[in-house]
Amino acid sequence: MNILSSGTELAIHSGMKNTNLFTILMILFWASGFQFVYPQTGGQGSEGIPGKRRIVDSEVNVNERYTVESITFRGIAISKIDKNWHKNAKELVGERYNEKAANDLAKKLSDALGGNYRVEIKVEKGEKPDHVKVVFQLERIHRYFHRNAFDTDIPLVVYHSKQGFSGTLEIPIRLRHNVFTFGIVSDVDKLLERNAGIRLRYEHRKVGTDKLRLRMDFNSYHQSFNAAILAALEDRPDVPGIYRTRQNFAPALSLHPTADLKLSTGVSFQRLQMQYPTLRTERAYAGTADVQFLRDIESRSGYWHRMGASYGLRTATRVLDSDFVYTRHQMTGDYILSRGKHLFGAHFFGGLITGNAPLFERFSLGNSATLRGWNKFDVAPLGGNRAAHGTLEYRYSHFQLFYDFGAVWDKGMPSHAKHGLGFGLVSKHAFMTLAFPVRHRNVVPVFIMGIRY
Amino acid sequence: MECCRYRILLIVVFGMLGWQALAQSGSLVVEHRGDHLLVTTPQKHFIEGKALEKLHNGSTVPFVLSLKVIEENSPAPTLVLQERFLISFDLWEEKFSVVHAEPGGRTASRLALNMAEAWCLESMPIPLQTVSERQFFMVRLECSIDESSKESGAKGSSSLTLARLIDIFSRKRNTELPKWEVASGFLHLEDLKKISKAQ
Repeated sequence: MNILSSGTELAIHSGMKNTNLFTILMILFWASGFQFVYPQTGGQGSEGIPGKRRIVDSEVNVNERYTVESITFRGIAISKIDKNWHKNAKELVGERYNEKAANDLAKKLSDALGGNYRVEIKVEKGEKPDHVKVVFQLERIHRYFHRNAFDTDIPLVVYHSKQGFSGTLEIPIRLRHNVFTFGIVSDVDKLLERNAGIRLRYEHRKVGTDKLRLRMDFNSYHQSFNAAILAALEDRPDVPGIYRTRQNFAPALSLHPTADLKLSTGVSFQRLQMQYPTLRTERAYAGTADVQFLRDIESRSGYWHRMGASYGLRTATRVLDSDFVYTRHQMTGDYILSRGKHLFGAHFFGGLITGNAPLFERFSLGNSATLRGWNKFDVAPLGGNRAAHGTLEYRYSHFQLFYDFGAVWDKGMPSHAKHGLGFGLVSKHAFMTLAFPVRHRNVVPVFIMGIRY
Repeated sequence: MECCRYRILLIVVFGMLGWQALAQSGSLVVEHRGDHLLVTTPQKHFIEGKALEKLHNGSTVPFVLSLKVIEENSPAPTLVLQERFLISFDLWEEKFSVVHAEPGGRTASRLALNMAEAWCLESMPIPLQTVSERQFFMVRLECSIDESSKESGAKGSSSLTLARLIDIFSRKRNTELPKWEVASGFLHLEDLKKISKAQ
């Protein structure tokens, strides 16, 4: 093995047999140079492998008559690059340079990195005569947006001037394809109840193939409920009551057939210690299915588009020995258009529940992401089994203007749409907004701030 | 005081004339050769800037050259010639290679920058019969980089995907693409023939 170091460039020459040493070296490269070179493999010239030689069209690009000495990339840590890409890149070494193959590889690399990097190809003279080095130059694209507000997996600290603090601390530990996550949570933002407790998660990210993943969640929460909920429950005996604790065990399998699509299926076993009329345990055992689609497209004219859609289904049945019987549907749609520092976003959400679902499944609007300017306990203290919500936003750099509209109601009852307007500052790791409810009187602004980490 | 003002005025006038002369020298030169006209740009390069940078990075750059013959008092060009040339830069020999992108198109290699440009323009002769002998006319050369066709070619697919649709709708119009252009002054065919004979 021979390691060459020249300025910021590093190269490994092949023929290595010691895999462990190779792994250590890869970590060293990651830590030091952001640059990794696949060298030309000795004895594997284009003539050496029958059937592998590419058709030379040196009439179009004159450099296609030269042999690729190495493939290099700059501007990214090696650990971020997909193994399959490495494999494909390595196949070009020792072959005649093929501009189309290099362009395809650049596109694959850009796609694999979620469109977050601009990839440019630079071909340089090689060390040997009639050889060239192919350099993939990556540049991080800075976008002025944060992820979808409905994404529940983002650890977050949120302050809502009407609802107080919510926070989640999660520590993931990654061992090859296994990810163990330990977390503590005290959250009143997402659901009607305040959850305080622990989260444990195990994820295996390669069940035979990278496209299949196994995930197991275990959550144990202690609940507390706002006084408005307790008061409203007195008038609504049809809504299941409050509970003191909730445990959830949810194994799920997810399939990623393409980079844009995720299909998940699993079960969720939830046990609730109901408080009234007597202390007892009730089960909400449900089958779950989710479809998520997310695609980023960057056009040549500099416009960047993100399209997302999701559908989630939870159905609790007697077949699974559940005390609660219900079906919950949830749909989201997102579109973001961005160019330079300008961003326009449209986000929609709809939900429907049939049957008798416990409080944690009911929809509510009026938190840090929906109907901003409103307090969810004023909008509908018990939430509803129907919900529709939309957000339109415009951002210039970190400054944001938004308009939220939506309604939450129960089947057979009238729905009243509510509107909220606001502005604020948003960055990748923090946001701060001032939102106003659109109504005739008692317009009290709501201050929301949050930190993502 | 008044003398000083005149001096400033003279400097400005001569400066403007000098600038105009400089601009003229960089304009398109039209020559009569046999039964056609040929153009050259002796003082200006259309292989420049980002295109040149891409070439030095080993990429093929597709140039689209358009020659327009516009007669005096005529709003529309009487002749439009448009050709596509694929230019690449040999990293080892540091010379340019050009392919005329048409069925059975010619190729040339080991060319210096000036020669590569001249080769492209020589591949676009203007037939004499398309130019009026009575009227003055001018010739305009436009050059742009055909990125769209290069990318679609690279992807090798003409199918209508979501990404492609979005790209089509958000693409800048051709007129907005970076263009390089240069024009001759108004010319008369007889004068060009006389110059040609004198040479």
